[in-house]
Amino acid sequence: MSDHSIDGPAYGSENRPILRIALVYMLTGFVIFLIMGILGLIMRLDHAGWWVISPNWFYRIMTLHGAGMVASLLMAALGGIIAILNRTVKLSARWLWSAYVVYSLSVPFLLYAVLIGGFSGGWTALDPLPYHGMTWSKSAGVMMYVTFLAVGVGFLIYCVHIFDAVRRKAGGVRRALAWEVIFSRKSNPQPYEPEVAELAAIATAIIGIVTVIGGVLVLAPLFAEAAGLVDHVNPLYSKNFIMLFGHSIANVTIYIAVALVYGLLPVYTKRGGHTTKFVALAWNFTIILVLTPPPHHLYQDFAQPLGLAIIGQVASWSIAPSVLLLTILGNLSYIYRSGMRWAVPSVMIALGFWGWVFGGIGGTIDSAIPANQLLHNTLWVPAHFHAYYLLGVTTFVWGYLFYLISDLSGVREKASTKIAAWLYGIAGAGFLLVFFFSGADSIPRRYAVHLPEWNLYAAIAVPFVLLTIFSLLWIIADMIRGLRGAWRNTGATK
Amino acid sequence: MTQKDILILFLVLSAIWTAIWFKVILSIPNIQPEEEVTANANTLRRRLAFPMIATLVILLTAVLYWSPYPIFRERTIGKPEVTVNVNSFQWGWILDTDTLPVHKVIEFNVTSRDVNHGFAIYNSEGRLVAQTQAMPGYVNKLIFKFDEPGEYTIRCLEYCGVSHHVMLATFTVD
Repeated sequence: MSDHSIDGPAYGSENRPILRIALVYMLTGFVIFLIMGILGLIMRLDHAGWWVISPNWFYRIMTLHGAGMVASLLMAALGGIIAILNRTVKLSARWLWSAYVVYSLSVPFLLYAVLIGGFSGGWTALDPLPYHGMTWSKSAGVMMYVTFLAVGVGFLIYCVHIFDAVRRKAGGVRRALAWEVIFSRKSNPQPYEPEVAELAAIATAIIGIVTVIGGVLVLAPLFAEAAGLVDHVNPLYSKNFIMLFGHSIANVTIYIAVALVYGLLPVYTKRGGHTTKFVALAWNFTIILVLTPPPHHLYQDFAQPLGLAIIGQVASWSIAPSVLLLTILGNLSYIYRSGMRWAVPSVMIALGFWGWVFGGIGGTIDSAIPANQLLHNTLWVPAHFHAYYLLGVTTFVWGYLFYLISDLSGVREKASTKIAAWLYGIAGAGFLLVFFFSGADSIPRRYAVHLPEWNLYAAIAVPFVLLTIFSLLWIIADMIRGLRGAWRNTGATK
Repeated sequence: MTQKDILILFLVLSAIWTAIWFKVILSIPNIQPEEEVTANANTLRRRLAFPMIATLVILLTAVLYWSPYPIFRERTIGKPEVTVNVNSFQWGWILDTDTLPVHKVIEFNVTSRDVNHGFAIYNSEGRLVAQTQAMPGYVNKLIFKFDEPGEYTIRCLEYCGVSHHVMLATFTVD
């Protein structure tokens, strides 16, 4: 068995059914992520001019890639939380399976919309495009929104259960949110200190619930429009709420992924794992900092009330001091001069912090309104969120999955696999840098056909994508050795 | 400010961050007690908090002043002298003129008659110089002054369907 610290995950036989669910969430997310990655490669090959596909198929692939990546990485991150939370909180297999089944219904809906219905309106499905696509039917647009609904309802079931389970254990929401730690008083010398994973879980569950409510506020009128009950939905209203839903569901994923780091880092550094005042503050701020920046997606809608743009700007910039001083500095202090043991998960964590801040720098610059005027909807935007995802979310989540499988199976990693993890970081950084340079060169995002003078950027990016895939396959080859054992050691209690 | 300035700022900040990250990674073998590291981190946190927040507040004011919204643009580049109406559709642009004067303050009134589009102006070197969204039912006023004569290209920057990438138009500034 790989080693534990007192703060690291420890899995007993009593929680085997829940661990099986955690594995299913994570593996489902992982498999879809790999397929979506291949779709991403196809798009960059098209941009390089090496494998030209029709615009119709390019945009269908783009839609699948976006929706699939966002949904799969969220699902995998949620699986990780289940595994960690399971150590200290009583979870219901019935609730978690229900969430999984409803969430997974999004897959056939999405495939139907895109492959049969021909929907290629992008994963954000910005109203009124889905019902006025010209090349696909209104029913395909409706099916895309049904996909949203399945993800939203599945996520809601998960969040409500997690919220309730953590609240029950803590004896109240305020205690679960570590307010006794934040507002510690002399009259209460022993404030209730939730586990970091519990605090993170309830904070992100609150974000999830608000996000889904935002989604319902736009989906309900859009379904009413499809049913002919209303003529049309105000496009400024729908854009605000689609962005609230889309931004928050994507953005919360990195925070859920970071929660896994809090659970995993102590295993390798023998540090941290406690809900200090700074940790408590960071997670409480997270609730506000995920839900308030979405108006920055509408900076270029000058008809939007100015106050909302200012809120978007202030909220987006508030993330920088909060995340840097609380979360990043806190976690780096767990690593700094710690004697951290290098293994695939710890390499992935280290890479993840680099990528998170790297993407954050790009995002913070883009969230300045004058800079956004020159960068909005260029490749700078996917550069920023691919940095979050590729070198933030995936490194944290796959690092955790690697650990979990190794821990459950008792199969130790091969020493050489660490090289693959570092390669993943180098390949990702190269791929992302090219994206940022492309954005600075004003290349639009979501273009099926690139001008010949833009081809070079994608041509440089493709080898980095291939290296990413190669390093990931290398990691998988090692991880898969323990998969059967991990699977056997979960499920029904013997 | 151009994209080149933005890129340099990004690369400088990223290089600083990468140096910090390497310092942390390379420190790992030289073990120090957790309490000492935590205390140092808390001191650093206290020292950085105020300057960082103050810098952001100051920058925020500047950012708003230099934002592209008409209320600010009228102060930074002047009141509009020429008005151009822009309508958009899947997949094309309708401008009520194809020639615009150089060094004059121009107001583009941008809208759409179907779905959301992005009205983005590229100069003859292929650099994006200004943009606003084209949203059905709304008119977005983009105020801009062309300092360079030449041929400019309008590209759609909000994905609008399968011919999004060929939704182009040109106009001349002289």
